[in-house]
Amino acid sequence: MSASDILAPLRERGWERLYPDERIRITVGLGTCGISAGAQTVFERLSARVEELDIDADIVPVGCAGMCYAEPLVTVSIPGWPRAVYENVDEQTCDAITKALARSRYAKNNRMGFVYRDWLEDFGTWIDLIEMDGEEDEEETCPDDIARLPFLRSQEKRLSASWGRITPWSVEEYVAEGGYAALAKALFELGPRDMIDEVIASGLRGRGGAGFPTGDKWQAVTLEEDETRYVIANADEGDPGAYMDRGLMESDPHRLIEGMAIAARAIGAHYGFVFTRAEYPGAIRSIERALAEAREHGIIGKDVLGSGWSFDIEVVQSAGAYICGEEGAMLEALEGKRPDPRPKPPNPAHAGFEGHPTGLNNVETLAIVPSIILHGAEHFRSCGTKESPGTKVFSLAGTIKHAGLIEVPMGTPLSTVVEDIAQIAKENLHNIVFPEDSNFSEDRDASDGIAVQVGGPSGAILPLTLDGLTLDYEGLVDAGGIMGSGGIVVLGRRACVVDTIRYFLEFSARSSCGRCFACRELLAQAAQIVGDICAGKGYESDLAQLEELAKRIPRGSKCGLGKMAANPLTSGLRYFRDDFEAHLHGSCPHLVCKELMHFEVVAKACPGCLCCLPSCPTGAIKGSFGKPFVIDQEKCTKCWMCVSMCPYPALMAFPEPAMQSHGSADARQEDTPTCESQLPEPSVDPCIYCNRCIDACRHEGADILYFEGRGRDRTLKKATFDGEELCMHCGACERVCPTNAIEAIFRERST
Amino acid sequence: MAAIDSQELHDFLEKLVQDYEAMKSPILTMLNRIQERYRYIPVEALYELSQMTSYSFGDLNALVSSFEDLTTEPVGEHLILVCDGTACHAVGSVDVIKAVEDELGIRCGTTSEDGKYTLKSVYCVGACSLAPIAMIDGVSFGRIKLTKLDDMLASLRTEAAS
Repeated sequence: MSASDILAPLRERGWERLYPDERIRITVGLGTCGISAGAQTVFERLSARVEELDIDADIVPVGCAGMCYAEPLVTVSIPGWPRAVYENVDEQTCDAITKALARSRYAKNNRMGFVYRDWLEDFGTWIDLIEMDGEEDEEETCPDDIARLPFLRSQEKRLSASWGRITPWSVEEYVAEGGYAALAKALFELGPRDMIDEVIASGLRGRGGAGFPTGDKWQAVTLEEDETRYVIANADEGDPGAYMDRGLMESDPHRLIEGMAIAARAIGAHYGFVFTRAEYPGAIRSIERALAEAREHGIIGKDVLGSGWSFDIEVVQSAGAYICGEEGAMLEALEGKRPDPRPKPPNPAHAGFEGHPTGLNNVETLAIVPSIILHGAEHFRSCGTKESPGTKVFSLAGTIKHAGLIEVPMGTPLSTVVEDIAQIAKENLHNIVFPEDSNFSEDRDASDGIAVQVGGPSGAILPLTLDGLTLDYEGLVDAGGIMGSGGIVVLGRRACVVDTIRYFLEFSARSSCGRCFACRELLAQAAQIVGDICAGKGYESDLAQLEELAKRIPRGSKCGLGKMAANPLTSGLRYFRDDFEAHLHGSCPHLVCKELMHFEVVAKACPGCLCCLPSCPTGAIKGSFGKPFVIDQEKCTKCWMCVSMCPYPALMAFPEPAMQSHGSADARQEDTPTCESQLPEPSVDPCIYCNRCIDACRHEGADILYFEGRGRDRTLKKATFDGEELCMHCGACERVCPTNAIEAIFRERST
Repeated sequence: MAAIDSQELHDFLEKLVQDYEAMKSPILTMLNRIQERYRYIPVEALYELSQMTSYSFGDLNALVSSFEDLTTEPVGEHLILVCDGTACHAVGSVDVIKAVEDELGIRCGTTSEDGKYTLKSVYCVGACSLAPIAMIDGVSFGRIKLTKLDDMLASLRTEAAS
């Protein structure tokens, strides 16, 4: 069997499924976002109705088209006609769609527009979907092309062109889209050297964080003498607010498989892993099913596309540990050890999985590779910047109209993404009084975003007004952040920057493995100080101390997590100092920090309608029907329940009035008796987490010592079973310990 | 907690080891399967696994303690995960968690005394466009409103009762 013997029939069958001559094709987006919005019900309803009305149609599950804001998303194509896209489909819309289809027409309800042309990756071109040989319908003469939507206008869909269009796991549909042509080229036309040269020439950089050149990584692997090599796709997309890898794996898993196979061919590996998050059950199902189909058709396995070359992939599901996104920690976890980052060098390229050279790349990076192999480096470089070529998928979330996944050329200005594509959403601010509002009768429907967070816990918080910021590796580093995996979260007026920074610092402190002092202790201190500021217990001197900590944390940390963990803090202090100052003076300008705001009933607006009364869990609202109510501030837990119930501008949230701040220099230390929370004392544990004792224990054959807990909770433990002490009391651990910590930890035993 | 039938556990583990023998990195998958089967990871299972495979008892303990989803205490019959990712946090997931806590009468991160519910917060389920979001027994609910939370949990209650 040659490659074309395998691919040609697949392509034909896939083409028939994608562009059928006789049958109607209806797709339903069944990604996580679709299902959360109720797409499963839509799918069932459409299936039932199609059967009932005896319509000649296939109802096909697809992934996420990127327009998560419009989910559930349904597309309908009648042969010879453009594809209609329907947004926010509910059961009524399903009925309307099927009813119109029974008459071979498109329903108007919830219709977003039509797709007239589809982008075909393998030809690098558009195909026209419209033939219009039938009788022209009145309503169809005025094309409302979906490509004109502001959300899609500025996008350049290359990697994500098939998302939400094809059945994710269907190898036939993927091949019809030009899939596995690059793999065939890699196997039969190019040598490993040519492929690596092409990737180096393309300038492709890692899409998962720091942007290391992918070709250089691969080259390093090939220089090793060890012939056993591995390729790993890092799908442990742990950054909160980032979900492009989920989108990719749910919508187009074959592209990742193809990319991994090409990478394996280039670096000489025969086995690959996809290490993915447990929080993505849909992505895991999708990729496993895709792998099964690929194996069945001889695309993965002992004889890849009839070339005699073997390659297989194993999906490993993590179980909830952010640190596993760090490559060293991921390798440790794969080997069945505690996921702690490894010291570098050696890099994974030199000594990775079980000590063998390993090509470890992000999911998106690997998925871009097929297109580079097929169309060449020049095509890839045709958009993006010189230093950051190509396109990048970003995820948009926050107070915006269009949350979803977008693909834009590198170097696109942030303002284009936020203002044109995402578009700031209106917030319900009716029951809120901001400090800058002189009176609360003014119309406050219009909302301005205040900040944008790029790159998760290792990224920066930037003001929306930042001029000239472009989304590429260099632009973001200049602004004080990193690209990260590319999650963009827009914070509106109801989000507090200081609280968000506290959130990220706590997240990082909790995720830290706890090995480096700075990441374990100083990060926890910074989180505590910002937490105190949010709770109204801040001191003037705190800002200086935070600045000092922000400098020290990256300096004293070994891996990416610690090195980047202070970025939200550094950028926050740089761009949002006013917000910090306001908190220090006792007022949260965005009414998020509960200690620094309160609720009040505005007597003249309250008709005493009783709406709020039953919603209060603590009985803090007092009064009787027909008269303005009052809130007992002592009892109020500030849960916002009453505000969401109040139909009038009566129950309002107010910031606390700004007052004089607490004392200044060193007040925290002097003041500790009255200050409720103290900074965490640096750990006096003599243990330096060097792992020598664990190695010694293993060497002696007992192998029962291990570290438990993350961050400041990291402690050395002895495994016990059934209350039985498995320790042989050989004393090896005590002898190798360089700081005499073993005795301190297990004192009770040694007596 | 019901005592574990050690013979049954032994058979389960033996099958597990057999099933995943061909994998090059089976350990996380095996631990996930044990957690799914028993809703926690019994220490006996770790001990037996260390006897059956090349993984050490110490390493297995370290692994289980490092992953948030793997527990040595049983989780409730119904697992309620409230997302506290950046996007959910920015639209008030803290208030959602508080409201669920009040409704179920348990603190976030704990299991109710009758073993029915476990409430946890997770960092991002990757559906930020539908924030705030919660997952009840693997089914996700998007765009949660505080005022409609009662209904969501009420359906869970009736389900649990039946």
